Amino acid sequence: MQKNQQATREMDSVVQKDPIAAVATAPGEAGISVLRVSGEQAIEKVNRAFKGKDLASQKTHTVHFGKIIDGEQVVDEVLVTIFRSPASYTGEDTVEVSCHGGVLVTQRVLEALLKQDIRHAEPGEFTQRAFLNGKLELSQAEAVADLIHAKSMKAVEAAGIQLQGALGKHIAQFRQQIIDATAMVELELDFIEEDVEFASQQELLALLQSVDDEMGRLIDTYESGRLVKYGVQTVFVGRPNVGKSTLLNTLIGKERAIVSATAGTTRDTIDADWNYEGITFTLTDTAGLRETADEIEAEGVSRSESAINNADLILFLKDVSEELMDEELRLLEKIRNRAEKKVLLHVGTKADLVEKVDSDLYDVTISAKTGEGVEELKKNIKDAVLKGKSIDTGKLLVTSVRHRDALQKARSFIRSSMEALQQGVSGELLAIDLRAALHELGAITGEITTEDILDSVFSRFCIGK
Amino acid sequence: MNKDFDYDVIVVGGGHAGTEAAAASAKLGSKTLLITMNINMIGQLSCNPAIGGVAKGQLVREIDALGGIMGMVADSSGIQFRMLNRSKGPAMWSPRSQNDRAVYAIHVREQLERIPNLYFRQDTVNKIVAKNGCVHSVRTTSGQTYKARSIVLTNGTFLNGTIHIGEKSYGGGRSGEKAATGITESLHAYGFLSGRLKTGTPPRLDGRSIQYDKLEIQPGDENPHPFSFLTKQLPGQNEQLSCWIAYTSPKVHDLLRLGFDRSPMFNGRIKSTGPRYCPSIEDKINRFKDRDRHQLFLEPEGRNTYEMYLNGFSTSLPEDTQISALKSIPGFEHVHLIRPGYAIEYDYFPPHQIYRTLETKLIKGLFFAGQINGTTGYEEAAAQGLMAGINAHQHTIDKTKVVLNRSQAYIGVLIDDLVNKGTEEPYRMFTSRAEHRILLRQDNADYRLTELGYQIGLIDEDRYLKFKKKEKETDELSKAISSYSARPSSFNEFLSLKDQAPLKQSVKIPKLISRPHIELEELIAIDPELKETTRSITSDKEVIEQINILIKYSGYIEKEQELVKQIDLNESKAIPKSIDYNRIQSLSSEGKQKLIKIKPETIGQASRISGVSASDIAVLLIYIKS
Repeated sequence: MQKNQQATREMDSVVQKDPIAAVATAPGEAGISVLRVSGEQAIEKVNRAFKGKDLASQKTHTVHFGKIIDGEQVVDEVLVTIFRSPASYTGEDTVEVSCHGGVLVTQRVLEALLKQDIRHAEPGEFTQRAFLNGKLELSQAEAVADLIHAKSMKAVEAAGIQLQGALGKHIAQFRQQIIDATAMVELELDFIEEDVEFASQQELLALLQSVDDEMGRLIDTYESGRLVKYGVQTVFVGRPNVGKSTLLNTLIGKERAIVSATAGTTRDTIDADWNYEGITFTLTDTAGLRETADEIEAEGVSRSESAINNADLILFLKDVSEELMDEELRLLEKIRNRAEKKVLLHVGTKADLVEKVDSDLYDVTISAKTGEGVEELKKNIKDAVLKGKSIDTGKLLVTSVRHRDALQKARSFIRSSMEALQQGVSGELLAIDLRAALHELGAITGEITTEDILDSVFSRFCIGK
Repeated sequence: MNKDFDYDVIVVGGGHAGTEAAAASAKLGSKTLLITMNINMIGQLSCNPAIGGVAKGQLVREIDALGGIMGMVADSSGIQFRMLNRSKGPAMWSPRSQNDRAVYAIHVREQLERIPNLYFRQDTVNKIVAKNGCVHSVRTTSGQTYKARSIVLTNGTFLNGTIHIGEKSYGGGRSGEKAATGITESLHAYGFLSGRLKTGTPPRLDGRSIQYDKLEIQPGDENPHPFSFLTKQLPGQNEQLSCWIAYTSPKVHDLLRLGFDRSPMFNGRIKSTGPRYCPSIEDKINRFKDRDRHQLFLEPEGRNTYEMYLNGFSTSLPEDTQISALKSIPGFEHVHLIRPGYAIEYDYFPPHQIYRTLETKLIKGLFFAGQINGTTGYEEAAAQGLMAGINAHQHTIDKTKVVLNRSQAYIGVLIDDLVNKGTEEPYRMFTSRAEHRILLRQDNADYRLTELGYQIGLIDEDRYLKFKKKEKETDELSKAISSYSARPSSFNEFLSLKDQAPLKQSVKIPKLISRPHIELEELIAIDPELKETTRSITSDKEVIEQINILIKYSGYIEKEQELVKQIDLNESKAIPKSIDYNRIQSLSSEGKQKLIKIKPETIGQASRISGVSASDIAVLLIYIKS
């Protein structure tokens, strides 16, 4: 009997749906994080963000080392496991990406994957697919169900809180604008016989343009939203013994890093959180970047490089009493190569050792010993990160990658509908894009039904032949 | 038991739902009785003398493809034919006819009388009897009991119907006809819930008193399309009657306002909800105060009468107000009123109480179709009647009932919406309700549904073979065209006339057709070789048009089919009837309540119920795996 059931289950044809991705491990600091991608073409799509072997030609149940890249930039070194349909959790082609633990790195890897035409999974979606493809045993499944439910309720709650704020009002406004645009289109389709004035192309285009602009602005807030939510990744770099650990201790006000005069004392990266004017800076003290033969130190140096890759803000420390060394020049070069979007501050240290500092070389000079310049440095750090803008946490900020994702997708449909409108495409085809945009927004606001569209028609136009 | 009182299927009501239901179940072999209060009123067009329209025309094409009668009767009784929305894409094209009201009813009666298993009885049902959860019989005011295994209720606006004109109100199911009492009450006793809805109808006028030269004319199409696959020639095609367009004015509005204090709409006598898309004229004036005129359509009631129907002027204002306002409409200065407009309130049963088979959840073998489920419109009623008739028959022989999907037909969308979303105003079909409307076109209704109609048994062998021939020709022509190379020398002159870029090298025909304003028919006319290729396969213009549409829409059709494939996966996961939602801990409380109320039959259906979340669906999937 049992066997029979099993057989039927396996005979169920596996249907592969559009690829989805999500972080599979619990959020928070951990050794590694695992991201799961599942769906049609999942392997090929991950392959596009992967530097290493050609994943598309690898067998099922194999593990591959390589790098996740976002454009040209290396995001993290990862291990990738390939599962080919139907031998996977969901039954679909699946890729599991194990990256370094840590909220930010994981987030970045996820973002890099989402750029490959992969969508963020809905709560419980992997499990749902696993059921649909007959992959889960009942007993396992029941345990998972409770979990999903608990989690998604939390997600809904969290979204609810966020949606009560200004962000919610804004998204509600998009929703209404797109519903109104759809209503204008539908009006001409369903009520052709009515004596109502149909929207002009210009009117509709203007409405869609304003939605497009506003969405663009909102999507752009994700960068600062992310800073508020996840903190500013701040990395201290410089030659050994320029005072990185000392500065870190000064900022956080306690002895976190071991400070000594011996070069290379900090062999691993050290993290500490520093709160300043409402923003959390995660400070990473690195092993001094120098060319070394010491194996343990070399490992530390390599971690430092990865910290630089993930940094939002880099503090380049230099001892003002010393000449600029070749090593430092090469280091600066390295940083500049990777730091298009990152903020770099030149900090001169040990200002107490010289009488006059060549101020052109530094953004700020400090002396940890006398405390001179520390306040100025703090202010510089804040200004550099915010670039003159102020972060008002009560205001419009997209902090969730899921929300940003939904907004981006909705926006791409809006744009596609505008293009179609300009080409004079018939309304029923325009409506496909507009409804797709509404569907994407629905991921944030809850489902939008035909009734919402008809409500808009009936409230604005006199229908009734 | 006396055979005269013992049937397989009883249909109560002789409107558009009732006649389709009776025709379907009798044709399928069930001994069927149609009971109606007045046998002379079978197949009445109670409101406007027209069939079809946007989304409704698609419904009629589907009814026809499944073997229903509405399409044939609309064709044979038509006095004007138009294809609406021609300027839009083919998914929006919607056939509509004006019909001779008297001829329509006669032709419905004729269609029914051809069916051997179908019996008629003039009587008034006032009680539904069920035993052990199964429907048993109906009782009538004449004291008779009629037994059946399946009973279909299609009571229209008759259940406790109340007619309102100004300050007058009286019991009635339609102008000049009595209301039906007792049925609602007997269903309450079995636990059914009922509600009240309202609808209205405009005045009928004497056409001899109207100055047509002051109105705009609206003629029919030159080459009209029939509704039915079986209609080869429309009898009324060459002598179509015109409709006329008139407008109200501020003066008309002022005169109407004089009656507002005596309007049952405004003085609170009518409490039930009317349709927002079919408001009364007083509602329009009240809600859209900035409009200084409203469009009215004057529609002929038939070839042998001067009676005219004033579409857009539905009203329940006092008769004297109606008359004085009408007389101030330009062209209506000397108008003579034949029948005043009125509003009618009636009972309906909120449709979460039925399954998608239209069988009620509380009583086995009892089916509801038409306005009793909260819909409005002849086409919506007929569609439900057809499905209820089919399933009433299936019930009598213990066979699987038929449910159409949302991706298969507007009929599927209609019934699925009713069951899952319910309705608080009379439900009318719109194309915007169908998420897959690109696929649900009037042109492909036969391709979508004839096969199913044949399997059910409503499409006869002869028609089926004709359809199969058409289908085969479509396939063959499609293949031939796809491999046919269009040479620049044959088409560049034509393309330059159309302001289109010339061909630099030969391309396959579909590539040319996918350009805007290039039709297959034109290409065939230009290229003798292509003409010969086509002629060797088919001479059917509809086949050529079908291919033209399929090519022009192909990108969208493919995308949509991909979506449907994904959705169908959930659609095929059945939820067992025995499921006890209270025992499923992980469901959200709102989700649980809705699931208990609606009792969805599949996971797909559950996912469309508002309040049932994605995680509820995941939880459900787990439980039905056991």
